[in-house]
Amino acid sequence: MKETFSKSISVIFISITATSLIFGVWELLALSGQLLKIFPAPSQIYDFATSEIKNFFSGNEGSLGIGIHLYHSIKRVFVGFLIACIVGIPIGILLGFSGVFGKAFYPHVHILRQVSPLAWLPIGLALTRNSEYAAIFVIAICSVWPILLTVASSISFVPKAYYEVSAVFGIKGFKFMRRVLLPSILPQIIASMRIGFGISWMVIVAAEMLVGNRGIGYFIWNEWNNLNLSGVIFAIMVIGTFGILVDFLFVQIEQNFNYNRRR
Amino acid sequence: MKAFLSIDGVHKSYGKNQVLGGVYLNVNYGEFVSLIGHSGCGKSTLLRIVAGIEKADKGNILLDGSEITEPGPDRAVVFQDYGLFPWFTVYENVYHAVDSAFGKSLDKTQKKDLVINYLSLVGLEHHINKYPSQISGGMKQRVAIARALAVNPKMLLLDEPFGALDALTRNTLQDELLKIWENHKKTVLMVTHDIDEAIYLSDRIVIMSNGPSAKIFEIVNISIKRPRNRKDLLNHSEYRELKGHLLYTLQERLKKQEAHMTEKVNITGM
Amino acid sequence: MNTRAGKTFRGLIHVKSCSCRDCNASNNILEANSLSRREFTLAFAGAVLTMLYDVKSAIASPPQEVEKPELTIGFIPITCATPLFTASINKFFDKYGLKVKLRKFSGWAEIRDAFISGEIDGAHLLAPLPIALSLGVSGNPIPTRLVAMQNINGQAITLSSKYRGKVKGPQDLKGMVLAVPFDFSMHNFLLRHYLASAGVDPNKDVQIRVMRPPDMVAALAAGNIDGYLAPDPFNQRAVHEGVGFIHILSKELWNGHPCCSFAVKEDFSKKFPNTYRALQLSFVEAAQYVRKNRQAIVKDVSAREYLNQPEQVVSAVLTGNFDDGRGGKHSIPDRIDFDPYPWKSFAVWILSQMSRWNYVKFLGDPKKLADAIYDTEGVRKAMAQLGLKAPSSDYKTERIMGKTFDVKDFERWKQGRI
Repeated sequence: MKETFSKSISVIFISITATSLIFGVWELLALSGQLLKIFPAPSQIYDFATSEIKNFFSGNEGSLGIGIHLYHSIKRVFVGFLIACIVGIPIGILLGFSGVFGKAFYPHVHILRQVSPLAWLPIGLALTRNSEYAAIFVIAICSVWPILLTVASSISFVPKAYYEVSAVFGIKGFKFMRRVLLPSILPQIIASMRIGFGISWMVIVAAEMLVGNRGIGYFIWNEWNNLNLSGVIFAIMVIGTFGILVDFLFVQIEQNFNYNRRR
Repeated sequence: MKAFLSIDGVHKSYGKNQVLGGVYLNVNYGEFVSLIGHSGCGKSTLLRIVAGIEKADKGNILLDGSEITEPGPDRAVVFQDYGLFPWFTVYENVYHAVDSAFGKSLDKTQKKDLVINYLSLVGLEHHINKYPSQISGGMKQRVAIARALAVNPKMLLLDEPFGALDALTRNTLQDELLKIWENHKKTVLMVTHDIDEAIYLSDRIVIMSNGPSAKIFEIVNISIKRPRNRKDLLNHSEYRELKGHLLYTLQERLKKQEAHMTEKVNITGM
Repeated sequence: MNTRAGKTFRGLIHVKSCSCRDCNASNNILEANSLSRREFTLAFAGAVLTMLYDVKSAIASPPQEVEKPELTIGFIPITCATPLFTASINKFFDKYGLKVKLRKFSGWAEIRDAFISGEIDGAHLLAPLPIALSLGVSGNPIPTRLVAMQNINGQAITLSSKYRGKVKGPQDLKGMVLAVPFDFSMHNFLLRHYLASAGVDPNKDVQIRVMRPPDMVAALAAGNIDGYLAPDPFNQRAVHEGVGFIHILSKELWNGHPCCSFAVKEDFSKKFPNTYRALQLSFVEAAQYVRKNRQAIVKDVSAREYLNQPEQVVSAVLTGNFDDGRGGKHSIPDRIDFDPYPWKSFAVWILSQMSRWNYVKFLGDPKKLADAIYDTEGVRKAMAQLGLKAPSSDYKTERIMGKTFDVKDFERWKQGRI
């Protein structure tokens, strides 16, 4: 008990000290003029941050609060990610089960999953003729692959014993899918969704930089347009914070579906 | 007397490896038969072929007159590693087997009663909402036994059911199994490593020859009267004889790789 | 009655020399002009109502119903788009019954695509773009119609600080890497013309790169490019950041050259004629407002969702009082100017240059294309309605880098024989 407590203290201590050190060095470099004029000091970023946080949800048309942009990005990611799950999980199961289909589509899957979101954007625009849908398309098509691949491979790791027990006791067909197969791969599905979401969130920034009018990606581009790196860095921090929160949520869900823990 | 289970000339190979080279065995209704032999002799393979989980290359198996090709609840299996689904509670593990086995022929309440009944039989009525990760190995195996019985199988197939458990738990479960078998009159085929267990539980012990191409080497009749008592057994002279014979067979005679071909085995043969 | 007044207002107003029946030949005009109380009340009420109606229509609804009041208009955050900002901020759109949502785009390709797909109703487009779209250069032809010319002048050639004092003319740009915002832009064509005028081959002797304007400033700072011909405020911004200087204003290359246009699809102008008219009126009025209030609007248009630039940079551009980054201070009020009249000569010149540099193969009559795209008639009417003096002709002679350009010179300039 005491040991884990002191471990936690050490972890927190190291984290804070290292971070402070980095910021300290950075501030010194900036003050002494070592950095490019364009590159802000942490103190400048802090100033920018405090004024932004005050206006977090400001609806002033001339200068929208970053909270509003964040809201629009979250909406898009949510939809795109959902589509990726709805498409990726069933197809993953299909490809995982069928050796023939799995092998037949191997090249397609592995070529497409390497395509950068910036390359998908014009394709998305051409397909959907609407920049909002194009952004969602890009999110979905980039995050579907880890979900699909993990689910497909998870099928091959379902213990043979589960198939045997099911066969012996006559658990077949749809009942088998629902009561045996899906629960057994559910932890992996959730793990894949966690990774998939991470990608969705990363891609939104790229997608919005080119087509958004509202959104955190657009915010970043807009700040860059004004050569305001403080704004860019602050936005990155906001993005990171939100990403951590969601990831934390996923970890909680994962733990809930860990069948082997003592409840 | 017509055999309940008839294993007729079963051969099985994995690639170039022939594991079973022609097995012939009859099991009668209500009998408790154990399969013993050295590791790798194919006894588990044979059991799995009877279960329908593996398919024989040659030969066939008849149960109660009809040929076996697929697995099913008529030959319920108890596996060595329990075979419980960790996302289901104790209750659900048994229930879903019952549900699939009986389908619409029973209504929900009837199924529920059945499940509770068998779980009580194995003494787990107070643990029905627990998950496998929360109960001991012995309790898990009890669930597996309850499940296997609840689907009202024609035969019980046990694949080293107590191999993963400690000696005390093993003894307890053997006694419970015996009691259940005596009350329910099930035909049982069990694979085991434990000679004492085989003697204690079985009517007959089937000794398999060593692999490759294993066959039945010898069948030993256990004529110790039932009900059997573990304490008394140790003092039983027949027990010592039987154990000696079995040990000798396994340790000495089989080493000589004598393939004792038995076509149709005598029921009382020794 | 023989007096003009008498003829006009017979029966109502009596003048001294009136000889109408109602006149009592009285010298008391007032008395003679008096109406009965009922007549007076009616007349007064009528006058008040008419006044109110006029005022109402001047403030609120246009004389005719606007078919599609809710519109989305795209823009790129450069000073060329200032009239659009003002039209929104100072409610010129509202005045003519329009509810406009301005939408910022990060690049020309994106705004073009949104325009083509119909996601936006109208767009801020580089002057050559409506021509390129109508010709179907990158796909199906999309007939486009200019609501108005958005601005004239407003660009410059900015070079890296390291070239201070070293560049006298276009010949000194040989071997440089120069950026422009888009292929179909006045920036590209002006730069090419500037270089070619000194015998520098734009395709061989320099590297012309397409880049987004904000990236240009950063690239200049980092040394990736040597200079650019770009829209403001990015020229002034480079000076502000201390990374470059203004070598020459585009106004000095061709005073009054078109820069950006405000366009809608031809379908739109035909399907929603009243809306189109309302757009023209609001835009032209906004453009006038901008010209007269250059300093006053700086704060509003510099805001984050519009230009998002430091106010002093925007002020330097709009007022024309600026520092050129190599020690010179200037006062050039029409450094950027806002003249909405779409001279068809602009279109003909643009076409000639698009052909000259092989962006299109144009074998038709340039005047026909200019007629289709440039709505001189509409802008003229709008200007007149607003009480502004509008040119009566569609074409004028242009003076470009010391040479004259007329419509008849189209073929010659197309072949580069200038």
